[in-house]
Amino acid sequence: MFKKMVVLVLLLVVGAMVFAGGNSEDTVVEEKDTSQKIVIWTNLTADAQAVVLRKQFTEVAQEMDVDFEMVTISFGDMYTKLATAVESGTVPDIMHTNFSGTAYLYSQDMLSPMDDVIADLGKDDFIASYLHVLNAEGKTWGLPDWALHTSVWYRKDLFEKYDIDIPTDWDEFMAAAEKLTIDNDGDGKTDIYGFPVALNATHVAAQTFYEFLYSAGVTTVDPETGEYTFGSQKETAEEVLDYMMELYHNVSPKSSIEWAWSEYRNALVEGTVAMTLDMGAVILMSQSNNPEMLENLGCFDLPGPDGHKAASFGSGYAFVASNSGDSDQIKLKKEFLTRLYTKERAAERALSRPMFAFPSLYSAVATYRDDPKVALFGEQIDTITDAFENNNWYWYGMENGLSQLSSQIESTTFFGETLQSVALGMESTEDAIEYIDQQLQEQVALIQ
Amino acid sequence: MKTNIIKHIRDDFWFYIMVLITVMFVGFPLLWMALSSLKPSVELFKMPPQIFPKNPTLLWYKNTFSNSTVVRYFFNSFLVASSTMIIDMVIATLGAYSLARFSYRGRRFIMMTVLSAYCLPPIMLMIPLYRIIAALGLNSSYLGVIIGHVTFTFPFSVWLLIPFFQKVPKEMEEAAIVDGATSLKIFSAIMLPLCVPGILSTGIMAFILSWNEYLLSSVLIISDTMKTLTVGLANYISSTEIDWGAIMALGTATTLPIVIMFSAIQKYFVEGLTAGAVKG
Amino acid sequence: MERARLMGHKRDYHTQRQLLGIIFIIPTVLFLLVFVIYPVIYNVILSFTDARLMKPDFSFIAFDNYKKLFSNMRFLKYVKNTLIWTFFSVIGQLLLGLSIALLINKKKSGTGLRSFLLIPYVVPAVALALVTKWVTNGDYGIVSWWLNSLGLLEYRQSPLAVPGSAMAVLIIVNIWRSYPFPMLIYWATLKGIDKELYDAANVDGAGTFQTFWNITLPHLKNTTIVLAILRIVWTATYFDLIWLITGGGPAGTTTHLPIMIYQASFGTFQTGYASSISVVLGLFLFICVVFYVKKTIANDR
Repeated sequence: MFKKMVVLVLLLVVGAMVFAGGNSEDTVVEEKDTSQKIVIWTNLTADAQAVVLRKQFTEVAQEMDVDFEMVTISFGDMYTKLATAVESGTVPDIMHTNFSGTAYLYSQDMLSPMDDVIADLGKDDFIASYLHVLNAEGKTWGLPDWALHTSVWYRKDLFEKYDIDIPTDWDEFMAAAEKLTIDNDGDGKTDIYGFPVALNATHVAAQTFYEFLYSAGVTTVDPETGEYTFGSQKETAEEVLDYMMELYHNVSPKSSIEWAWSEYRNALVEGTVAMTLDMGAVILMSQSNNPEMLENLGCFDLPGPDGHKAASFGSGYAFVASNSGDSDQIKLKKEFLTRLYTKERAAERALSRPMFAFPSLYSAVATYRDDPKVALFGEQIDTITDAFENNNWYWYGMENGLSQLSSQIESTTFFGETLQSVALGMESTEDAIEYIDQQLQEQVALIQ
Repeated sequence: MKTNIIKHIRDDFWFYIMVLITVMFVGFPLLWMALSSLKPSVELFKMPPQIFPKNPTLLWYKNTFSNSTVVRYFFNSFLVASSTMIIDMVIATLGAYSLARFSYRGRRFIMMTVLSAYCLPPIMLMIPLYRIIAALGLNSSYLGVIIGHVTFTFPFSVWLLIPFFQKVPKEMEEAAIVDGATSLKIFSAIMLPLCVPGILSTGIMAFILSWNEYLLSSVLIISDTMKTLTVGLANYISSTEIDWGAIMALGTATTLPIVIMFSAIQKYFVEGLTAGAVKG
Repeated sequence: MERARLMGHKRDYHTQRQLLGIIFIIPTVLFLLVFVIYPVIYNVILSFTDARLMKPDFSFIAFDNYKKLFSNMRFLKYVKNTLIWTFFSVIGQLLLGLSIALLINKKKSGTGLRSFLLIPYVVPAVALALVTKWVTNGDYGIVSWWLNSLGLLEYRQSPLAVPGSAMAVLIIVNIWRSYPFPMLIYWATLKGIDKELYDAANVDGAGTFQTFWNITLPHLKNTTIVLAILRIVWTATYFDLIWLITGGGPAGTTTHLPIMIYQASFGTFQTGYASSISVVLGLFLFICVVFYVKKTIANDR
């Protein structure tokens, strides 16, 4: 009997909840009808970013007297959500997404070109290479917000202690990493590893691999013509993979095949690796988890195999507007976006992830540099901004501007699976590159 | 006599050892989750790990629940699971009653379909269901998720409920007919009250299954504000920074209500399942 | 007179009652048609098309998806993974379920213990997956630490990053999660065995093992067959746990067909191709399901 009562009570509670739920839904709907509403999606990668975005959206919405709804989409399931949205026709008005997401939406004919907004804001104020990535068919399909750049982040103190110079080619890099693989207390367990080869199958393996590939001059498609080129560069790709595997076997913790961003960043910040590839997010992590480590951290670009670095791996975020609605609605979206591009706001957004995000406006870069959060890293900022302005940098599959190939690479795991197989000795480098080539060709065929 | 006692004690000893091992195996993951959620960072990341927290803290819970999105996840899970439960109970009660106490053409076929549907895993339904719900314009709405959940819970509910209706003696029904009761009256005045425990426990079971469901929810829900707990919790790990203390706290908070609910209905669940699933 | 009236009422009642039974089954039938039968058929149809996730229109391409699937270099590997995962999970949970059922059947006061042992049945897979990731974390996981102390695992390595052991972890976790169902069913079956049989055996001087072999096991045969079929179907298609713990890694050593389906539909957005994988998986399991359904319905109602 008692149990029956318990069940009944539970049931009532549940019923009450449903009732309450129904009610609150209604009130939300009512609110929505008062004025024009802009739906904005943003990929949530860090809470700090979402806070700043919400604040700026609120301000701009007030200035324009419109309503907005901000929906955060975790990066991990971005493509699922985008596909769902596209399929059901509930695409947002504005989306804040990375360059691959932009490419995906562009490939679905969902976007409105941004050249007019860029012209209004002053095309010269935008860093040119940012605009280039978002280009297709002679138009720019997104407003670049900020970009990120892959460098080798390293422990300056350890380099000094072991008397190591910044490596200028792959042999030197290997030698440095070997020197930095250290057993401090002589108990046979390595305490510090030189360089982790992070190969988590979701996103990370492909990112690691591409930084090495680009350094050695291998690209998926030709940067000039957009022709598929990976297939004709398989030999170089094999050498690159062999080199990565040598790093993995000699200077990397064995578990790094499963490492994603948080693991390798944490390892550098906590002092268990001496170098790692990263996009500068180690800084924020160090500031919050281990501030003492901060002054020991520096960065340099991964060198090319024999000194010459062909290109590096990078990406960024952009604001895009959907092409849904009449011309008034599109105008409204564009006005909303224009207002987000004051130099203060652009800098503030980039600063919500210091050293990870670099603003796309020259005018904002100045404000960015003055901020105390990044002022410490003047030297690093020089290195990175220089790379953005003067060197080639690509995002996988986007060597020739916007391409859906990048989102296909990003949402699949065949890179990770294959690279891990090689690391574990289950597959030869040759087979692995062959398989990657086959998969890439399949993807290329799919998007044509 | 003496040897008998020794044998008895020896048997008991081994019995309790086995029980202890089993309990440890079963309890370890849950206990470890709860204990981890009470440890401050310093202790969480200490090697070798300590079993019990030295300075237990509720900090992770405080942090987790001061986040309005997390509170929203709870609300969403509740909304989806309770709606699933109610829809399930209505359809399944009617269906199970009909299947248990009537004979008509096609009954056997329906029964087989229900049972097959019970075996049908969510991954097989995922693609078509996703497309159907999208075509109905219901994706990224609570209703879409609820339909998804009802789809995979209600065959199980029907199956659990059938034995409860079968158990009601025929004589009661016949006596009521003699008294001139209509069939609807018999259903509402005799069958339903007798089967209330079964119906409620089946409903709660549907609630639990829906609360725990991950795959369909993760595919059908777009916005963060509509995510259910399982989807929100899973995203904690795939995000770029992993906060183990908070994850363990949220995991514990997700699991606990379900375990309590289940304890309340276990007796009836066991009854329904052992009668329905296998005989002989 | 009175009797005739009653008979008339009874006849009315029967027509009326028949109608009620049919009305009551309508919601179930509708739901089954729209959300179970139609999806299954739709799935088969999709597998012969080039449907993509975000495109509403598609065209028929006959067996191209199937050809592509069978020419995929990794398909056999994933089938093998599926078989390993299913085989060991099912054997494990049946054995554990049976052992525990025998254990709690021994004592009369087993109800409290039984309640406790049923808990894993309702623990959310997501919570379980997260705990698993936490205890097997390379740096701070307690299980990794234990394994390292025993010399079974390298320092700061995670068992999830080692092929073979990743699958082993998954299978153990899956057994943990799913033994309660077989336990319950075995327990009910054991309760149903006539006590007199054991008494008779005792009188004949049969040992514990002998009674188990000669009396208990034969009674469990049918239960075991039905349970095994049901669990094979559920395990082979179970997605959540593997997806959340290893995502199919390392190096695809824990990728089974459901993960492959998911990746095809939400990784490369090839709905048609994904459907063809699920049809292939479904065909195998369909045979199991038919067998199970026939056996259950024939036995019971």
